[in-house]
Amino acid sequence: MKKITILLALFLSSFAFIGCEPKEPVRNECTVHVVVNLPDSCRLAEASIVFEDRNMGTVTRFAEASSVSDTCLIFEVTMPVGFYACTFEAQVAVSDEYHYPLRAYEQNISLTAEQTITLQAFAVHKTDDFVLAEIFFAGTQTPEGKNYVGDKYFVLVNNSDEVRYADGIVLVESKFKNTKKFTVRPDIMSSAMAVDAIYRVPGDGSRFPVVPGGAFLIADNALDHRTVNSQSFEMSDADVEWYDVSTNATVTDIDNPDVPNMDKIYCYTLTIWVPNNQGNTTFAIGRMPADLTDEQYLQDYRYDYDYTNVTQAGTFEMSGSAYRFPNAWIIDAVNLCPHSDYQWLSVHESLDAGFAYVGETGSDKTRFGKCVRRKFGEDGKLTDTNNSSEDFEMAQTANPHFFKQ
Amino acid sequence: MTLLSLLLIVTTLVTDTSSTQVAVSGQYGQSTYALSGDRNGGFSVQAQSVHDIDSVHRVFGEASYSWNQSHGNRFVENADYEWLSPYLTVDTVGGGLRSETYFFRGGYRMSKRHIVWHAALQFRALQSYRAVDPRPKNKVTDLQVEAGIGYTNSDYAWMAVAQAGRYKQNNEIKFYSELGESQIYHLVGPGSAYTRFSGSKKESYYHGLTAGATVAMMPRQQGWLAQMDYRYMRVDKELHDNTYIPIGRIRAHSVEAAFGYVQPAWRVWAQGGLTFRRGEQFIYGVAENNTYIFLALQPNYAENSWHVGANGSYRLTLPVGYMRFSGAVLYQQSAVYCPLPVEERWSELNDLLTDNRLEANLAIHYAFPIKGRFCWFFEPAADLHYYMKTTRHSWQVALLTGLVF
Repeated sequence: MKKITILLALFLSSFAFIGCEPKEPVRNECTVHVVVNLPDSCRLAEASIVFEDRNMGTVTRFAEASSVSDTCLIFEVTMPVGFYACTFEAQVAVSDEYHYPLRAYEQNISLTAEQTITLQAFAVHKTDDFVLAEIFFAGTQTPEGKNYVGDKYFVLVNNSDEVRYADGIVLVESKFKNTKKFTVRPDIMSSAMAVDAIYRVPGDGSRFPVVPGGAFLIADNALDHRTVNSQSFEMSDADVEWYDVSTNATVTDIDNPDVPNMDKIYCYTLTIWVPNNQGNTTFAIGRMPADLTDEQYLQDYRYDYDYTNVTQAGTFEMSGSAYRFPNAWIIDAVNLCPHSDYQWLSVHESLDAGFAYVGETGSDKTRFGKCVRRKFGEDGKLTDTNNSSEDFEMAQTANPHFFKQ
Repeated sequence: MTLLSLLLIVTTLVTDTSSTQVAVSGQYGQSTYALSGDRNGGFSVQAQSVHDIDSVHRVFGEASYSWNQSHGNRFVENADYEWLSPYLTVDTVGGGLRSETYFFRGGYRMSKRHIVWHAALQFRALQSYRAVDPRPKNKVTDLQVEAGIGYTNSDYAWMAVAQAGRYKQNNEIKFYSELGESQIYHLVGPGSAYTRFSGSKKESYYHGLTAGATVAMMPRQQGWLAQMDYRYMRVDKELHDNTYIPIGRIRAHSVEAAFGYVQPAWRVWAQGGLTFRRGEQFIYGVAENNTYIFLALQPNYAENSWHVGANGSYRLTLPVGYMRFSGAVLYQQSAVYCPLPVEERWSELNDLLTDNRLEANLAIHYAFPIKGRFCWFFEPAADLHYYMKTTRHSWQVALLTGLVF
């Protein structure tokens, strides 16, 4: 009976725990001192820093600086241990009516202990030139549910107050994908973009005038695609198209003789250029120096690099090559990346500090027929803060004539 | 391993005669708590045997095969989701799952004078899959070894059993549609997905350890019944990409106790238990060269649950054969703390995973001799679960029939 009593006591004692309130998991936190160096002594309004948790996607905004001076702001915040992107946002008040934005970015903050982060703020001025207004890279579906390519396009809009000529505008695609970060050696990002598709609008400087707010349509194939796919578009009125002479007779391009072809400076493929349909890369427009020939460019701007590839099978030293497209030549750049596949930006943050997307993942089946489209600002012009996450409407129904209407 | 099955194991060790049972069963159920489907049906075949080599040595074994088809599963794409929660692979599409389970158990017992000891090996293999997109394929292997020692006299058997095991589950999801894929998410809280790895990571691997100990006292004919049971489980979840990426770890401690009284014709016992589950999330920094830099293991989940139950059975001896009526009720309540915000997409799943449950089951076992030592039996049973917060319910009926000899 004594043994039974012991067991009974054990049984009953286990219930002593019942009713204990569970304790919330205690997350490890640390203090971050964010020092924002200002470009000039200026009158700031609405200054704040935003921490985006890059693991969980949550955003935390802090609007109270602990220290303010003419040359810098210091924010002291406490955040859970984690991996963050930090953005400084402020308005510089030039007058009561005129403000312009000030920004600073740091994309990769690994927070495991108390630390100080220094950001250099820069003024964001409106681009007085062309911008990439709409990018359609995903392709469409046929009514039968099959993939349809050949109707991809780019729309440039003259975002200035005067007539601009599209002649000589160069369209490039990045070599690197924003979904996969490699530590490349040498790292040229601060001075140039690594590209492997380079096409140029033909013309002598007076062939393609674009009025203020006007659009310039660059098509893959300038055709009325509706004749073969009722869910595609009429694009026989495109301003230019890109055309590739394929080395493979089974994969050939279609040429509309009534629409000028872009000049092909270089493309990585020996068949036809199809912009990445998952939206993993960065597209940019720019102008090359007038006195630089294509041959000279290809000779002088080759970019050979090394990187390390870690796989389940082992670690491998790899090499690759592309072409350097100097940041100074770039008028506008737009990073594209499926929303949940983002790893890094393949151009310098001063060109584009964010990314636009049409799908949650690269293989998102809802992405077909969708484009990214630049927003209109309060002044009626297209927004261009060099941050595509803010400047673009994501996953819009593609319409190559949206900006021509 | 449930407390009831442990009682049966101990019974196997102390019963006095050799016996063999072969049986088939079929079951059908419906549910509004659709994590395991809104309908399911299946069958199983099973055999178990206890064989006394002589008065000292005994071997015992058990094998079964089960087949089940569910329809309308929502959210969860794992097998054994209650073990692995909240580190589950989920989506918003779902669909029915077909599952096959193979179970083997075998062991040896030696009884000399008053000392009994035994060793046993138990293995469960399960695969569950779906033949339409999204196509999960879960492969579970669950191996356990146990050893015990006991003391018996004419009135009681006292047993102490230790157990250890290894658990693995491969969880792979494929899409065959050429048009793309729906999103796959990896939960790190009952209502929160690991945003950074949402979307395209479709292959995950769970692996862990189990351990436990039981002390039990059972009467040989009539008397008090008591049992204490402790279980520990630790399972890590890794994603498979180019490298292995652990994202979550669940650790569970549970204590369970039962106390009752046994008569030759009836037995009653009460049971109660506590379970403490703690989860941690692996936090990563920058990803480069296919490697995610590990930063910290962050506590992010705490669940304390308790349950109480009452069980009883009554044996009615008939002119031919006997009937045994058995019934049980059990109530389980949980308190969950997770600092991560509940996403709207997963709010219903969060409610389901954190719900409290009332269970009741009833079975009638009828057995009668048919020839010599052969007995035929059949056992209809019904099982009802009611979920208190979401007011969902599920029910299942089963019919087991077979021979004992």
